[in-house]
Amino acid sequence: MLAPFAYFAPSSLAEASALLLANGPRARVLAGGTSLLVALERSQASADAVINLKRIPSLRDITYDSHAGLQIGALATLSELLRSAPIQKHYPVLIETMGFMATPQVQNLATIGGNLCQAAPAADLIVTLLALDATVRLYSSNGERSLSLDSFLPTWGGTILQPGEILTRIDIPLPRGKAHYDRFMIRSAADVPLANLAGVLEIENDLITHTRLVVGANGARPTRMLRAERALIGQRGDAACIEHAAELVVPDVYPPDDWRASREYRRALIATLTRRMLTRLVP
Amino acid sequence: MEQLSLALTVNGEAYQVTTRPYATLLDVLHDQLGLTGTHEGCRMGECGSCSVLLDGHAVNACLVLAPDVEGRAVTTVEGLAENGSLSALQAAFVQCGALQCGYCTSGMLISAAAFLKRVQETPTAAEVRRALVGNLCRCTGYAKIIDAILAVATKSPNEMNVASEFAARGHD
Repeated sequence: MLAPFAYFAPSSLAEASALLLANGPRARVLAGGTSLLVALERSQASADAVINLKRIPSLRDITYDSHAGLQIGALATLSELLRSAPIQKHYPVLIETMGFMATPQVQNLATIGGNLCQAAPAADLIVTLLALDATVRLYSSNGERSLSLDSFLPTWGGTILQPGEILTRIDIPLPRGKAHYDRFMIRSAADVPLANLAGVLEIENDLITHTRLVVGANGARPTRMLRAERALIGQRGDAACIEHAAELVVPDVYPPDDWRASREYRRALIATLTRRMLTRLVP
Repeated sequence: MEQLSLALTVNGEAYQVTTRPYATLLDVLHDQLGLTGTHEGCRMGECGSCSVLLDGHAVNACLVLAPDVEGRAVTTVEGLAENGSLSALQAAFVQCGALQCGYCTSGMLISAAAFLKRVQETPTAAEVRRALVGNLCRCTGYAKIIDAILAVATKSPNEMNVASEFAARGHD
């Protein structure tokens, strides 16, 4: 058994938020539990109270609308997202991304909201959601607010969630143009990537009109490659243009230097992934 | 210490157990219900030896908090046998020699059962491997496990009944 804690399963967001505030900073939210239980098991985290959100209705709904795009309840599991017909049809890049993530057993438990709140620097899904300009919806007793996923994730890591605040929904507009996700790792199964990258690219009249390049496993949080993006806009996306964008990415990334791989190796990987990504995105 | 009364269905039977809110599903199955076929390995959701079906989906029992299974249905490896004889999948494991020490076997069987229920067409070896990424085996090298799952997936139900009877006799 784990170290003792008080357990609550509130049936509304208002109740959950009040419980979070009442139990202080050592109250933990339970969504899928795949990170929380491991942290508690290994004593990397301790909890006085665990507040299970799974009994709150409608937090796992997935809805799609051809204008508004996709709305995903924070408690939808990776498996539910992988099985969702509108996601398979309109957001294949999400299926591509989640195909790399975790084991089937963990996919059946882990939630999209938990993944975002965990905000792991090498996370897969955050990279793709940033490239798709996703927004998040947060609930607190003061009301609800929506903000971009980009501003939800501060540059120093973690999230900007305030005490008593709960992530309830992720909204994803329809992708502009083509979108892909790619990553590189030494093992094939259930490991964190050495380098990962999501790209979105739209072409009108042979010219690039919109693009996003987001690199993960790069410091405290995934980062947009703004200089490379700017260099691509208005171009045709030929080989020279792709090479130039890949060169611009290299000084803009600061990946970790650790036992998995050196910083210079990772930088070279990111440049290669950028070249490959743009080659896939340009018709 | 806070007590918790929990109602759940395990292998088709209804149970009411008293446990702690900080127990995991693995603790409840293994220590309280005596279903020791569900093995504790890493307790970190990585080895897969505690895999069970929760409402039909494979999960790591070590990553599920006991109170979270209130009113839900669990299938453990003990629930895979049909009318007292090994299921076709279990029989195929025996026939193909898909186990050595046996520690990972229950988790392998659960993942394989969930996978075979999910696939619509005859799976490829690559798909079987992908379905087993959450289950570690340190003896077999996986080849015979994959053979066994492919054998079940490609054989007709009739052939597998024969295999099942053979395996059941072998265990007497």
